[in-house]
Amino acid sequence: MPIARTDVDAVFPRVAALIADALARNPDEVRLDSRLIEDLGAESIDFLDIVFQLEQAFGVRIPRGQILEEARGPLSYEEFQQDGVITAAGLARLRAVLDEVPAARIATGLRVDDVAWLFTVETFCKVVLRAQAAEPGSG
Amino acid sequence: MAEPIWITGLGLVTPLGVGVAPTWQALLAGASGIRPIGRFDASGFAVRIGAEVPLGDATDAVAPRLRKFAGRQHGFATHAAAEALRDAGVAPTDTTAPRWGCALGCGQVTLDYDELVATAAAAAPQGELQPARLAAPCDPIAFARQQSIAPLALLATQFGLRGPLRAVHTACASGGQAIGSGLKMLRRGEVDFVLAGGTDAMLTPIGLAGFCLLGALSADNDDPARASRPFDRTRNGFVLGEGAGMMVLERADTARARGAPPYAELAGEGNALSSYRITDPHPDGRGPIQAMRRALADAGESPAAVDYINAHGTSTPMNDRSECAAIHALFGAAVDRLLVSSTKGQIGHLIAAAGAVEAAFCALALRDAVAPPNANLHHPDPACALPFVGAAPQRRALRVALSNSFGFGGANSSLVLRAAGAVA
Amino acid sequence: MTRIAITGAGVVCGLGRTVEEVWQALCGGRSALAPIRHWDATGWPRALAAEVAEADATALLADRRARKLMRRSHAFGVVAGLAAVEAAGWRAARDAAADAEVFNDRTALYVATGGGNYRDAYDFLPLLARSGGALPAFGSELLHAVPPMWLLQTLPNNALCHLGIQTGFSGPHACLVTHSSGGVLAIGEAVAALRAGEVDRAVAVAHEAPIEPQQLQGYATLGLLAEHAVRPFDARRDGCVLGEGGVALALEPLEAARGRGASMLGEVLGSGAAGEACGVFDVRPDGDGLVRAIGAALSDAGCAPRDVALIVAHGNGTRASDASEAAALRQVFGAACPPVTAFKWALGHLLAAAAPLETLLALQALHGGVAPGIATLERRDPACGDLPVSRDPRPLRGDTALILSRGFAGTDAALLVRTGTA
Repeated sequence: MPIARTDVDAVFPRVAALIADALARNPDEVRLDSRLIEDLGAESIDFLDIVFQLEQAFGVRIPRGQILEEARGPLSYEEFQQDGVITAAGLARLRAVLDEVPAARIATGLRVDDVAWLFTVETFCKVVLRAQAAEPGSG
Repeated sequence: MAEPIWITGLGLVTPLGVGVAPTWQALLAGASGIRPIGRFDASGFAVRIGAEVPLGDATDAVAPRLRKFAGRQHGFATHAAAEALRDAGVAPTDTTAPRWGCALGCGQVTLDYDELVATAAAAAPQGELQPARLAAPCDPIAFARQQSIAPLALLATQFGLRGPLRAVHTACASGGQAIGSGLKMLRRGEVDFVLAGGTDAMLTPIGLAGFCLLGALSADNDDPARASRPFDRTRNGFVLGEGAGMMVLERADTARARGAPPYAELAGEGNALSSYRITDPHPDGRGPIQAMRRALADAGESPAAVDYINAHGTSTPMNDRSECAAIHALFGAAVDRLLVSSTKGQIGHLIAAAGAVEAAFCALALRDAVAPPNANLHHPDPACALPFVGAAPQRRALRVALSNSFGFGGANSSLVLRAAGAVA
Repeated sequence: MTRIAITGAGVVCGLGRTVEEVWQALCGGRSALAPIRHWDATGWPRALAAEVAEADATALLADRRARKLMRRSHAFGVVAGLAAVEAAGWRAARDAAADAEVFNDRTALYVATGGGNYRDAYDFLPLLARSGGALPAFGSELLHAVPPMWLLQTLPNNALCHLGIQTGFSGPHACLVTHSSGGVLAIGEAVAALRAGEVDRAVAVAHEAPIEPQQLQGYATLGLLAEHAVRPFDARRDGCVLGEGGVALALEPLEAARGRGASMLGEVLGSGAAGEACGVFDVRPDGDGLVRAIGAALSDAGCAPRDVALIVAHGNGTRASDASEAAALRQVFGAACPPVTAFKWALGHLLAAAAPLETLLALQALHGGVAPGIATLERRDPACGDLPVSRDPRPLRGDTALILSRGFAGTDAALLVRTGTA
């Protein structure tokens, strides 16, 4: 499911403004490649907040845990991870889904619990775009 | 040396039973109190399981005159308090009542679902409150029930407790902190007896909603008995429960004079704030470490003296990992002689009552020389490596037990209990 | 026994943002009571309140990120707590300390609040408008209709949590939800921990924001709200008026305060508490709980009734409470009762935050040697006997004040403070 750059650019201003507000950042600090935890200081609860705000702002439904589910795709939970560590097959899928994240950061040993450290502002732009694609007419 | 404080009476209302004996027997037998939610229609919720107390009408122990003021959490507290007083064989009289205090951890009070539906229908048909529609008298009994202090008011009135009264709330640490507060009231000489404990009944549409919103609960709806699995590597959230735990505390000399045997000595309490984030634990476990350290110092014990830990062990990925890290950091090599279990695998998380019920379990463990089991711990998590009790209770002489309760908002509470008669 | 000094204070209430500002207003006969502005109380028979001017109290927080995590009452508590810490100079002291971690671990936070608001539940109203009372729809639409952080935003211990996060202080703590008497209990906890040497310093905070429709409706239904004015001990009194805000006291051993050259507002001598065990709302006519709370406070402070120069009564202006309070004072002080005043005619009733605020004002009165009058007092109720209350200011002789506090569940508390820190 490739997502066009222009589509990302189209939703970015609203997503960025919303993330800036949720994390009490100045809008100019929020760039497309800003990492939410490391660059913008998000904590775990902020992700729930941001997803809720995106739903309200774009009038879409975003299933919770959607990014991981998307990444897991056809793999069973056991095929995707073992003892909390993502398998080679899981990493390959994750690189495809999170193609905005430098592939080198999606490396052997990555724990399921730590996937949120990869998320950037673009990740959430794409979450919105996928939700819109799933619900034609929303927006 | 100050006079020790003894636990001379216990009362429990838990998902495993109404009363200390049925709960304790079921706990040691490995029974589960977690089932599909039956008290309301949870079919639309992502989570449809919970640890309900097997009481249809929870208010039957409340004095008839007070019953209309009582909701479920008030009823649980009254049940447990009545049992604890009966068990201790002492109750306030006209002359002793001013020397009886109460410290109660009670649940977050908000409108019940039904009351909120009524409010919505009467004053917020479009979803926004229109105050003008409320400018008429309301049901004063409902208003009484909705006060945070109501459970304390009902206990004090029904049992005639006329000394210092305090209701406390630090989320999941409430019960432990209330018992610690009772210990301090006795040590300071403010009172001769304290009824201390916690009560909560969040297993309602609104309570369930609050935790569902946070994504904190296990959604293993098809396998309720296995859903709460503290320290297991497949754990995926906690199970919401309800209930109450109360205890009677008094000085050892008072108890001896009236020939009352103790369950155990309440030897120490410790609180610490994480002061980090509201839900994420501090990466190095500072708050929990400090709470345990303070409680042990307060009891005059070293980590190496601890035999049993009743862990907070909620079964969420983050809590269990950071609690284990904190225990390792404080106990060092002494972890090897510990027995650790989380009873939440069987009773779920009783929120404001959790610390009180689990402290009662510690008292029973010391008395009976048995550590309760870990239900559902089948796949050890390498990030949670401690000497856990297995699926069966472990019989061993226990001298010192530690009960942990860590709450949202970074409130951490630890209590230390010592076998009665043992020397500090 | 270790003596305990007050080395900082923080205040947010309808009459001002500093103790001095509130004191000046009060002495000028000004009251914070006014028709409710923050929501439409048109048609309400009892529509007075002592509101804080800001419609959005979280805007008072300097930390923008903290704003979305707190509700009105929490914001008042955090603002007051930070102000007290600042006034005591503790952050600077910590940052200069050899071991900041030890400093943080030995600083305690005790918070009191009513706990539980109705407006917290209103976040579910839009969902209910959609689900129409159908529970399955309520459950299935939940995640898409209610803010995910609802539970965390509404935790009763939220102010404690955020004061910890914002100051870094991590010592022993408590969050008391013991209705109005909780404020004195929080101060009492701090004093006990300091005396026992468990901590080196403590912040006692109380905060409330009860001015909301369903709360007002409940108080009004119980006949506890005044129509035009709060008239403590007056024959015509007809109830109280709710206030809101936050109050905090920074407390530390007097020797330590002296050692670091800190300025001191006064000394806490002791406190006491008792219960009446007569239901959720009732009080005993003989003031039994208050008598025993005062006795416990005097004994804790090592004082006798004759040491008290000023009594700040709870004086909430309701029929039953004022009469029983007068009975209690008569029993403890007999014919030798020192001047009695009350402040709720000007402040409204800040519930748990009432007594801490009134304590700071009592110290102002002692410093100035004048007991402010009760501006709304016209004719003393004969049922209140010969209680020495006055409409006019009276001179004070002495340095010790007794502050009384009464809450639901028949909980009574008393606090003794003095100005002389020599």
